Amino acid sequence: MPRGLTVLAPVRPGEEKRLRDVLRPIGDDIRGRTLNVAAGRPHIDFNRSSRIHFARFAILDDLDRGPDRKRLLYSSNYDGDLDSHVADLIAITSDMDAIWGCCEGYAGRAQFGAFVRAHTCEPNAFYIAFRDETVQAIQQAIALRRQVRFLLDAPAAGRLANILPSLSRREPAWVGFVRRAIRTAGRSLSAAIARSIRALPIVADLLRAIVRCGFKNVYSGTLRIIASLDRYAVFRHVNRLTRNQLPPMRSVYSSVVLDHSSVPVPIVPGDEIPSAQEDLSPTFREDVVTQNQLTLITVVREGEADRVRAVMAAIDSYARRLAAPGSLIGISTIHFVRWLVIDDGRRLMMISDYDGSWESYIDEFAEMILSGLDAIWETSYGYPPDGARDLPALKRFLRSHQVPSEVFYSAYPEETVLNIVNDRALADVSAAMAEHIGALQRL
Amino acid sequence: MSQLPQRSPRFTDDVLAEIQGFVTSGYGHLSSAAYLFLQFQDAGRARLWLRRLGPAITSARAWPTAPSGEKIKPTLALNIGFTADGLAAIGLPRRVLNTFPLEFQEGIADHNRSRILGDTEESDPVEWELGGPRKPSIHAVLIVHAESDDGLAAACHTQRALLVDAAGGVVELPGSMQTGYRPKGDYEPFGFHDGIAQPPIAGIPGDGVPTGEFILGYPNHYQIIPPTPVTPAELDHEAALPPLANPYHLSEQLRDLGINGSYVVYRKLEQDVAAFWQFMKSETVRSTGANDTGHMIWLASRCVGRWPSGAPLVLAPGADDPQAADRDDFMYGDDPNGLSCPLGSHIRRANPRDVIKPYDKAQSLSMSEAHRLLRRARAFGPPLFDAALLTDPTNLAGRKNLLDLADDGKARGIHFFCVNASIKRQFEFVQQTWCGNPRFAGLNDNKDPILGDNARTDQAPSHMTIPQRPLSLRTAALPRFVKVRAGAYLFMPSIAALRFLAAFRGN
Repeated sequence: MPRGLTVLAPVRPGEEKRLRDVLRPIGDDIRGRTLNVAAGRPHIDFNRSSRIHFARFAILDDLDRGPDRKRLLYSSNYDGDLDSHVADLIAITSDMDAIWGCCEGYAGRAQFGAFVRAHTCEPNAFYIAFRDETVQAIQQAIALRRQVRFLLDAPAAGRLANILPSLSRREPAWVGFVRRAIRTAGRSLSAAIARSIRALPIVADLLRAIVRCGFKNVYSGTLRIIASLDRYAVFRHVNRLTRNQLPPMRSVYSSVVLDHSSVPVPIVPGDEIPSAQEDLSPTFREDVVTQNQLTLITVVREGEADRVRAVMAAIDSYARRLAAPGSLIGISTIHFVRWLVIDDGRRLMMISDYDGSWESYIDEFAEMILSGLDAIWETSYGYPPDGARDLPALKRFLRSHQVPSEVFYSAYPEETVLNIVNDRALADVSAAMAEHIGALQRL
Repeated sequence: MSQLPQRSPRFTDDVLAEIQGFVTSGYGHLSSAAYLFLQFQDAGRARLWLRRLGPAITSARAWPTAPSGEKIKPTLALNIGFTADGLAAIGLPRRVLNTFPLEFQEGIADHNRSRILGDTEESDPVEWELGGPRKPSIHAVLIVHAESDDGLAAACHTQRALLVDAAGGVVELPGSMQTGYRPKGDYEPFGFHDGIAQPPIAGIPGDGVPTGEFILGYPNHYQIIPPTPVTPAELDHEAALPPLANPYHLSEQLRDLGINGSYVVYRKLEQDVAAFWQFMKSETVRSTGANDTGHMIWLASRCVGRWPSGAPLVLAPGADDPQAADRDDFMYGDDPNGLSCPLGSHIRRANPRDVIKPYDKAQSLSMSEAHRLLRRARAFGPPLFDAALLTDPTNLAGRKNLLDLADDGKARGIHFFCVNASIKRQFEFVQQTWCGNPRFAGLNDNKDPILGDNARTDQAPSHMTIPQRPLSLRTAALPRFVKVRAGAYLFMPSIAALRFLAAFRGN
């Protein structure tokens, strides 16, 4: 199962520009803009590691340390254990010191593992689209699909395919039907058992969350998430029993500012508005078609940290125990997403790797888990009074708290979650065929 | 989220009289159209011109009924839209312009917009005839619809006389006028029956897609009224505009400049008809080994999603069916994998209806509803061939011509207009996330065969993928059949807003 790493390390005073100057060309290299590793310029050869799904570097404000202070975010999703990931990172980075030397507490590559451990933040909720897939398995499935596509493009492919169904016609139709029915029933039974076993630890999750965050927070937070999930029978019953529904709208009008060119301003001290300083352009670099990234940082209202943690515990438990491959409560555009309550509960950070344009990503959230968005961010400053139902205001809230990345890497940048679902199905077919390949070999 | 169909109060005639007729009608009975591209060179004189023009603008008011019971349709329709540059040139202050959406402020030829729309390489605004960065800026587009070419010429003559009266305050961009027509049988230049699917607008007069999806100032798909452009009340000294009813801004003395207005996207789309049919021919030869015009039409129809008659593939998967021509009452629920109508086909992308992978029917319908467009198109250029031969299987001699269709060097295509309340959430979304997306619906390398920015040097090739038994069929790399030649993002103000624009207290 892939793991996630989130490192947040303070940048030494005055080193921000140098760090940005090192990171940006690395990001450009990955995007294929420069495509040449200039001699002497630091670079990271992510492709050389076959265990990193996604990785990003971003420079965040560090307002608690001082108005001009920054911190470096390194986030990755990787296969294997942390030690081997750290070793990987050292191996593929041409000049560790040029990047990490800008951070406080970095004492050379030999101590990098300890440095990473000292600056790691643990996610409060972590969703992985495919819990059983490694980078290599996904890339192999892509390669297999390309090979099959190549074969199908050949004129003779159709003729062979026409023969295949007739090969199975040696038994009466009803025999085949009964056999398939038995097989299907067996499969769904074992899947149901596996699902139940996987779901069992939810009870322990719940107890742990109640101990950590308080019963009231867990109860109200969970209800808040499921208020708009009436399409699932189980949630619909809970919502009916507890009379749980979205509160009436305050107004049919959006609360968003009328001046679309106005620069967002921090709502409270410590509120980080990256777009105000970094990139005023309405279209972020993080908005191309196939895959994109989101790093969001918001300030949690005083006294609400445990409430956010409770909401995160519920999402985490769902993601681990119930979510089907490639789908988080129906949303099928997320490869990885994690939420972290950081800075002693004062801030909430979201890090996601997703498919499609920014607009379509947010629209999809608003369509699928409206009240879930409210549960996650309504305790943050600046969240619209009518929540996610006020989509223009929600988008402005999210956009103004989004941190652009300096470096964004994906091991399979052209693949959507849906593509991977299809590729996995194709890989299963080919595995099944491999069992019977002997018959063809003896022809 | 709203559920179809949506109840909405009927619009009264007073409100319809405030909406420009172009928003609610395609003027199907007015087959000739002209588009005059204007530039304001003096704000004061331009506003005087606008004051004289205003009363002639056609509204959405219901057409009167003759004693015989027939509708008395107008013989001429005149509508106008402004670009952001135009609103600035007419003197609208920055603080008012800033209340328009960013994509409108940037304009269609902006780099950000081009990236989203796939307007690159031969469709790059730098190459455009009109509206690109190398051409004089478009400030307004006057849209004229008339019953006949003579009527059109007369109307254009009248408008040009008004421009002369404006004494240089407003000029027509030299050589810019475009004309369009409703082709015989409504066949677009590739030869397909066009203009079939149009969403009804709730309240005009019955049920439909929420009004706020097409007209500003009303609840939209999300049951919310998004912000409209506004102006400080002191600019509106004639009180042409209604006060802004938005409770979040009641104390600010604002007037609603947007209500009853809309946004209109204009794109001149040039179609390479010869290349389109030559591609169908070479692919037919490649996959069947023969010159078969029937198969060429079959393949082209898989790309479009309808047969040349307009019959949707899901209702007539095997062969064209005149009985099913023009039908729009269909869903994709029985064809989830595209065996009848390929997932990558044009109409399945432009409106995926009840199947958006991997969502269920209700979610898909809801998502589709949030991204609808009202299309208003007219053809330009002479047809390269008689499209009727595509729907007539007995016309074997005519069909033979299809095999040797060669380009005649004449430009042809459609003037594409669409009406929507949010250019970003509707037009740009459909173009980027559905049409221009090679990974749409779980496909691997298939952009819209008609509208996609195919054959880009900096991207992987795009192939039309046709699911079928026993194995799916994939074409060779798709060329770009449609090239963008001009474009504009327009604000189409209400009648009241036109009065305001003609009279506001300028600087």
